[in-house]
Amino acid sequence: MSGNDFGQLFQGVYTLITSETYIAVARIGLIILGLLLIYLGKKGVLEPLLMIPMGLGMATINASSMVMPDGSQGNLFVDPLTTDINKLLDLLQIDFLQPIYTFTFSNGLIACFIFMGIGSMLDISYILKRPFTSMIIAVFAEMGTILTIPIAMLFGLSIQDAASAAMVGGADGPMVLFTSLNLSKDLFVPITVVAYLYLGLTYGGYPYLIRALIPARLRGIKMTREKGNTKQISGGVKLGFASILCVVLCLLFPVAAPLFFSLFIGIAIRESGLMHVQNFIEGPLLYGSTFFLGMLLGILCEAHLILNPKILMLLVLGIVALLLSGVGGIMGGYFLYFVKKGNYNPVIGIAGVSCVPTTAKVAQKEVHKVNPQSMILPEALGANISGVITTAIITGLYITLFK
Amino acid sequence: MNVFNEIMFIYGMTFLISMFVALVIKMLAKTIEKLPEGGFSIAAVVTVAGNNIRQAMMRNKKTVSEFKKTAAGSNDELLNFYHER
Repeated sequence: MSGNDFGQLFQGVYTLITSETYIAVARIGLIILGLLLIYLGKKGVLEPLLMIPMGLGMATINASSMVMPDGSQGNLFVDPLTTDINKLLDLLQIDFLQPIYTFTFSNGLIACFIFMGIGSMLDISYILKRPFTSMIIAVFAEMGTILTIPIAMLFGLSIQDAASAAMVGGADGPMVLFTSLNLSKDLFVPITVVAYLYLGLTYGGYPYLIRALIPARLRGIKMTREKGNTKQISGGVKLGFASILCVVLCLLFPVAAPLFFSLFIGIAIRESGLMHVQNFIEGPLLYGSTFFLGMLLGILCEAHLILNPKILMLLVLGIVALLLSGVGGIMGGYFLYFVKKGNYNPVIGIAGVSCVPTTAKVAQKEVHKVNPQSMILPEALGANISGVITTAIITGLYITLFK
Repeated sequence: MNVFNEIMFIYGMTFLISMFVALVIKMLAKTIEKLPEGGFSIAAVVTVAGNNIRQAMMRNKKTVSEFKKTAAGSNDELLNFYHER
């Protein structure tokens, strides 16, 4: 048995040995990282729903590189860079994940499906009861989404790439995917991977930021609520709100209309009492889309594809964006604390970062530790939902201004 | 400087649009709250909106008559007052 036969038989090993050193090292590194993500997902450090398919996808794709008929290295999963129509038609019949990538991922459909699921789980009565305070917090918490642009441009990124990277500060995965697909075709894979990796970390990182910036005395503030704010809001009001706001936002930003529509159709279905459809959207559709998104993100972490010289920069920019957004949100919390003369818990500010419902849960958890009698979850959820709306507004602005 | 302007523009726009959205939400919540039981009909919405407008007009009328009484202004002044309003 010659060496050539061995190579033909075990092509994964053969391509590892014969490829350039940095590619081989990157492949091994990504296999290890993939396995680590599975471990962290299982342990609950990172979101298992996303990290387990992503980790396995990442490890598998870097193990299964093979020699293609034309002598180049490739795989039988997906080729995201193909633009030639004839080749794409061939690939759709060969690469088993190509149909999912082409028909759901590269056109943003999967992001919209996830947004529908998020919409169907949102109870918007929190924002209906206190729209101005919620929106003010959300605008403050967009600091990272906006201020990261000049920082990214200092690193040498174009304004489109900078805007896509800055969207990580919005802490909304589907929005990052949608923006980078529109603005930054070459970088959308690393940007989205970085975004999803970091979103998993907000749950672990933001409590430290809260403790660092807000003293325990203020974290334990118990707010007194106005009388009107305890009233129940009917489903009809919420349905009316979703329908009209969707139309208004689509009139303002047609480029982000798919996202607005997806979010508000989820809310509309929930509030119109269509239980079967709601169960489908928040169950199979949301979980199925998240699973395929995680798997595809992992598969796209193939060494040749992800080894972009800008990846380190994106890792730094992602954390800067999330940090600035967190700081901005807390500044918003302080702003309202002073405006309301102390009857506002500044911890709510962190919930303006629109990682629904993670940041709201983080805020409540931190407050509960200091004062178990203080309940800020309704206000935090209002800010959280407003965060989704403001991030969608910024997505619309970025795509309109920079495309 | 250019980027700075752009950033300020985006932040300003985000703030304005968000406040506009908050205003829409507030008005929407208030209007729909006043609807009669089971009333999502156009007639009910129009009635509530009409009442709101009528009340606003009444307030305005009162202000104008107060203005007339206290300032006893000329027609020009009154017209200016209307324009300002």
